[in-house]
Amino acid sequence: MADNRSVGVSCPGGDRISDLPDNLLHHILVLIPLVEAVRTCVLSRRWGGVWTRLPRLLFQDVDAAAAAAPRVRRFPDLVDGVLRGYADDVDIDDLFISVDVAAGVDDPVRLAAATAALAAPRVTARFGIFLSPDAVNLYMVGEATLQLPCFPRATEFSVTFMGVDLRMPETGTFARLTKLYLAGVRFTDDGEGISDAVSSRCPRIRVLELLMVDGLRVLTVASQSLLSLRLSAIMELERLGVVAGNLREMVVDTCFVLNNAGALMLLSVPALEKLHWEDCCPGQLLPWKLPGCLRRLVVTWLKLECLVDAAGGSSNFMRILQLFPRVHTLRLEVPIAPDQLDQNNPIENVNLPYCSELEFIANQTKHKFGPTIISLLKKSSCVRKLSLQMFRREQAGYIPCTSDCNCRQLSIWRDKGVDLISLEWVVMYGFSETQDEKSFIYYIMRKAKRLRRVSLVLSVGVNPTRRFLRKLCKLSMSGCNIEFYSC
Amino acid sequence: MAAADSCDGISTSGGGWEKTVTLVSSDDARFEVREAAASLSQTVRRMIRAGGDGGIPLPKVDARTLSTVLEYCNKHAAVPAPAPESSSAEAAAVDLEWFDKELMHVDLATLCSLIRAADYLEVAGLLDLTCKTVADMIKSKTAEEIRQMFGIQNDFTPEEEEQLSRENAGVFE
Repeated sequence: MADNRSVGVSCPGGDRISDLPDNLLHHILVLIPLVEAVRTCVLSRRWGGVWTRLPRLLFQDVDAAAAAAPRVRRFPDLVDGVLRGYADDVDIDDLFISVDVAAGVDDPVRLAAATAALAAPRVTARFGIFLSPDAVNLYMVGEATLQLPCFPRATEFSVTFMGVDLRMPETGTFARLTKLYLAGVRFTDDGEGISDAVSSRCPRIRVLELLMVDGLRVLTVASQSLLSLRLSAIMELERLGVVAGNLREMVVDTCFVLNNAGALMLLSVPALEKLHWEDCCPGQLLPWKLPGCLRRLVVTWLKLECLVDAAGGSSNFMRILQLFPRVHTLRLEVPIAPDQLDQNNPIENVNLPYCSELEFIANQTKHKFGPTIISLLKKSSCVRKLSLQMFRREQAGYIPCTSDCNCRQLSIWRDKGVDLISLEWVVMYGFSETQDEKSFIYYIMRKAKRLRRVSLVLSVGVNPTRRFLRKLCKLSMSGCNIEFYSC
Repeated sequence: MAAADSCDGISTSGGGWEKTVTLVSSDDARFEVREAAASLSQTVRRMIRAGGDGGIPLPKVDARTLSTVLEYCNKHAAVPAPAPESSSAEAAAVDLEWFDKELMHVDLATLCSLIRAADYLEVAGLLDLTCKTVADMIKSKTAEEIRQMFGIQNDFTPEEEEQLSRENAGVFE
């Protein structure tokens, strides 16, 4: 048949699907589980080699076990068989292995190593291994080491493998790698291998994510290409050095908890735009090069901190705030009630950076939030938009405020010294018309002369009372819009 | 040549003036379509940019297939940019899903023609939709069931079949 025949000419009873070109058959076959796609080789001669050029190989033991028609004998044999049967003359775009079931694989380290070795020279886009914690027998993994080969052509690389001792390749360049993601693995070299690989052998890396990595004590990243860095639940981190001229985004979460007194962090990230900090602050901070103004800074109180109270009490994370003189949007997820141990309110003693948008997220206790927020606003006079989100979670072991707590000093509502000259917009989420909330809104509306908008997102089942509405009307005479939303 | 040359007219559907283009199928049927809808096809979009007189020729697509493709394009181009939170956006998405489902109630030959046409015209959404439809038909079927459904002739010799099952024995039960 001629190549350019009309698409719609029907040949009744004919085998139309086998006439489709390979690239379209691939388009169909990548949408069904790989086991079934491979099994199409028995249909006819035409189909014999179609699967061997599939652009995406997604091995899932769940699929393999569930597949009705072709029953897979052993998952590792499937992986091995497919990789060996795959056409020699084409590259693999995408190769991903996912093992979820405990019984699926008896030697996951060998499976991962064998796959990586076969795939390393051929994968051109994404290579990934995911072993769910269920599938890994930690006792068996205990001694096993997974030595990674170098993937010179892959652009994305990810390994999720709980407890395996991972060794980065010592030679070779990940010449095209843009994204590296490691989770659950363990390093026995304190992090030297990964630091070296990222800093000197990943010339194009843009995204680096390390999650729940064991044995990572020292991480040094020196990269001009890196745009985004995420470190999460590393726990034992003692030294972190980031020298990345183009880094835009950084997340640090639960990394310094165990060592924060002796820990050290060096930052040279002049282009940083967003920082999310949910961690203890290392004892020693070396801010070499930081931007004058951040676009977004999120500082979240780490609940663990009260357990591992090492340096400077629970307010030590506030030192992160002092690194940045100006921030466009500042989001604080911190307790506003006094610390249960020392009856000091951590947040009130801090000088916030200059910010034009302030978002405040806190657990609402019996402590009244209004006075705390007001005293914060007093110190940050350039805030234009203020968002408040209060959670009402019952707290175990709640200690009532002392008699001299600021929430009992009603005089604050009469404080003449507060100047809210920039404030234009106030948003409150989960509004339920408590006295605390009402006092706060009234106060803001009286004091903020340039206030143009008040948005109240009502809690479920809350309807504003008439009296409250009347009062708002009276206060909004000067041209301030009041909006209600229900969620 | 100016890009506007291939625009044959202007229609007033929906209250506003909209540019239209004419597409010509392999069997010389002419279809006047809103440019926004026709531009869902990357191939047509490139041809509009290149310009030309008397409509855009699509020699690889016949009238019957093209009209189905255009039905898809007209429907999908009509949807405004989604505002994810609004309930009307949700309703529109559900409506589109229904429309897609209905559109796929066709025989196999038509479905294969649509796959080719979507590929040639580069209408990504339609290519995904049609391939997904075929994939769903293949899923969880035995080889014999698949052969019957699509009319695939098993042209292996008995020897070849035996060799195949030997090769597969290590992997499949």
